[in-house]
Amino acid sequence: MPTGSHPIPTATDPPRIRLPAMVALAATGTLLAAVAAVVALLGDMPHDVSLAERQAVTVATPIAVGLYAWREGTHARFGRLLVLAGGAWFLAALSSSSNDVLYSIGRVSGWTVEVGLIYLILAFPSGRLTTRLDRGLVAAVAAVVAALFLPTALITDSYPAPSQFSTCFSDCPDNAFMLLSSEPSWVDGVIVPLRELLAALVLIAVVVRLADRIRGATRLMRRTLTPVLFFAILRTLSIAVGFALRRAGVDDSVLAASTAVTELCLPAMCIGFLVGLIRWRIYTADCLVALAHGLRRRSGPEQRRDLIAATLTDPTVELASWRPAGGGWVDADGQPMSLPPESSDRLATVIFEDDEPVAAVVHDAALSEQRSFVEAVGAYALVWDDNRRLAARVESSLTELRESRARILAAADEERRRIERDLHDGGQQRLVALRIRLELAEEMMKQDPAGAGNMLHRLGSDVDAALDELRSLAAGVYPSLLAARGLPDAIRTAALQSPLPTTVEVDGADRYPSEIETAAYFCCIEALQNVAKHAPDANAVVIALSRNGDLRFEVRDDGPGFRLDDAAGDGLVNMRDRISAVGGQLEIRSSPGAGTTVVGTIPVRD
Amino acid sequence: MAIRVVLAEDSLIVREGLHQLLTASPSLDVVATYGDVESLLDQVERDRPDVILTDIRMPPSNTDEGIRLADHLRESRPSIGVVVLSQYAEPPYVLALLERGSDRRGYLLKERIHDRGQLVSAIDTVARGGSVIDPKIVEVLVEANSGAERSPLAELTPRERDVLAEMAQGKSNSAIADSLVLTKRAVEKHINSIFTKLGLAGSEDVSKRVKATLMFLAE
Repeated sequence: MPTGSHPIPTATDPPRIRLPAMVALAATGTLLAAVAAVVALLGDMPHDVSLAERQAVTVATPIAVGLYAWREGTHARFGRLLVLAGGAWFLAALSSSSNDVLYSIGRVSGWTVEVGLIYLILAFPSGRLTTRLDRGLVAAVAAVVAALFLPTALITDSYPAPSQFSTCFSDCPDNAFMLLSSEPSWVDGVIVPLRELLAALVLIAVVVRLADRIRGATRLMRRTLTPVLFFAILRTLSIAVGFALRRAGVDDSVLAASTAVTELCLPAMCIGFLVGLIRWRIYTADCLVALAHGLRRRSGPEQRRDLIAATLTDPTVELASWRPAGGGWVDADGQPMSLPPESSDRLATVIFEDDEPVAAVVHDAALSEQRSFVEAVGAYALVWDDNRRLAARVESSLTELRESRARILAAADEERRRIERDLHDGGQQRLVALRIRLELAEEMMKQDPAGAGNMLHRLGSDVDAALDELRSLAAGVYPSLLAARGLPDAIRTAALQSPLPTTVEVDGADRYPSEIETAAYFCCIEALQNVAKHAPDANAVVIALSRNGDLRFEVRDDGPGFRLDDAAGDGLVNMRDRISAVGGQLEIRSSPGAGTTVVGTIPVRD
Repeated sequence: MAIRVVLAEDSLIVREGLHQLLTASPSLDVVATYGDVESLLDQVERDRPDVILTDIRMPPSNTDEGIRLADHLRESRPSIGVVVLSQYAEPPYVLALLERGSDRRGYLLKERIHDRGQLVSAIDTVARGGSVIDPKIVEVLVEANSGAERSPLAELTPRERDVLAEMAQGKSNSAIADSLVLTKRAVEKHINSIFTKLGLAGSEDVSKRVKATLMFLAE
């Protein structure tokens, strides 16, 4: 498979959550929040800062926001992570239990909360860590927690108090995981200050990284990330302040308030995520509306590209179209092009229709986190372009229809004028002459009866001539044979009267609706007249009629032929009009020295 | 005994004219006149005509009712002769009329009407089992064919061409001899020569000869 000539599928999010699963998860989330509240209520810890409500909110909020994102579809992956975080935070909320084991599980889980939270902040809103720096930061936090926090669970008497999920101070439950008989002094003296310092540093690094991401981000990402940054700073500050206050040994109530704020920063952060996601939706909807307006006002592929570039705030955008059946990707000028590989600083977002690639938007890698938006913009512009093409086609065929209708009417009028002329110049004049001679014969009757008899006899020949003229006039107006006997007989008779040697080949004689027979007949006659006019030395004119689903006729001669570009006669336009009026098509094949063939096909509905 | 004739013509003026013309001939007995084919067929049992003189174009479709009537009678009443009066000089009509046999069939252009002799003689020929084709039709065919270089007609002598035209009208050998002022023997000689040159099978039956000749010309 040659690279570049085949579509690169865009990394897609997991499918949006189905309603039954969502209801089940929501019920589970509510249950977990209730359990967390009950655990807090049953414990002996002071409830002065409404501990139970705090725990319930901390568990319920991430699950609710996560389910929203999961259901919304565009950020289903992030939503799934957030729901998972809700489960982890439930474990941490067990810290408010007075039971040694539950309390210890809660405290250990509390340390892991930080790793997940930083992952969420850096992976928002796609649910993926896109840069090496982000992955490094998460790894650093995980390393600090794994090296300096988790192992101390086995060698410490008690966990530092108070924590964000508990309100106890000196009367906290014991550490249920303690393996040693007594805690080494370096734990409290070295490790705890060290890890608190490191944790604060890592948190500050995350805040800096987030601010940096916002600075270099597109307008869409900036709007989405800013609310998260606000709460991330708040939480980092509160954690740092918490560490400092704990070291400084301030009043218990101040400490309690500080840890409460730290904990409440968690649900607040979830609200930040929610606000970011909603701002994403509003911004993209606004952009699509503006794009729709722009597309309506401007046309042309170059302007379309400019509009897409402006909407995506990426001036480097290129558009590619997929040509099926081995055509591969082509650029705006129809030149073959290859899509950039997935790991370069350019990305290709492919737009699919019924699992078939139709187009691709090639853009800066900075847009990697908003590919669903790129896809929506691309698909919208594409659909709009399709519509415009369709509308243009309809418009042009309407114009064509109007023109051909006008030409048919004009031709009919001209025909009527010709018939009127022929009737007056031929039939009427002869009758007038007859009337005069009849008058003369009547006068002559008195003086010269024998001469009058002769004259009357000659009048008979004049009547015959008038009859002859009328008959040929009538035959020229409409061939009676066509209605009575059908196309082959009518064409054969026309061929008999042609000045050129003409043979008629009929493959499957049949009758068709009269408008179809008439169109085919007059088209053949016109073609025959054209041969007589332009190729009077042609040797064989063949008219072939056949039926193969459609009625097909062919008039070919071995005359000198002509360049198709030079062909611009009323005759050809007449033939085309007649045939297209019954839904058929006319094709003329000719080149100098190769004769001319006129082929008409008319679809016949049975 | 007079020939029993039934007239079918939708135009009242022409019908009355024809009626007068034919009534004046003692050899004919006009038993009925009709304005359309259907009522004619209804009464054909009662009228027992020898020959039907019909317009080609009549209601309901105003196309080729006369020829269809002849076609119908060929099956149901083969003994009735049909003379079709037509305003069309196009050969396919004639070929259609003769398609299922040329005996007892005639095709005359309407302009022959004024010549009572020609009309009565055509009715007489058809009543006796022969066929009559208007000379104008044969003229159209011969003219169209003699233009083509490769047509076998080009090999015919002018005299043979005259004989061919007479033959195609349904004339008997002696009638051809009369109209061309030839001996009957000379006419037979010309006819044999024509048949050889055109590759047609010779036939004594004048009706069959008409059809063969017309088919050849119309090809």
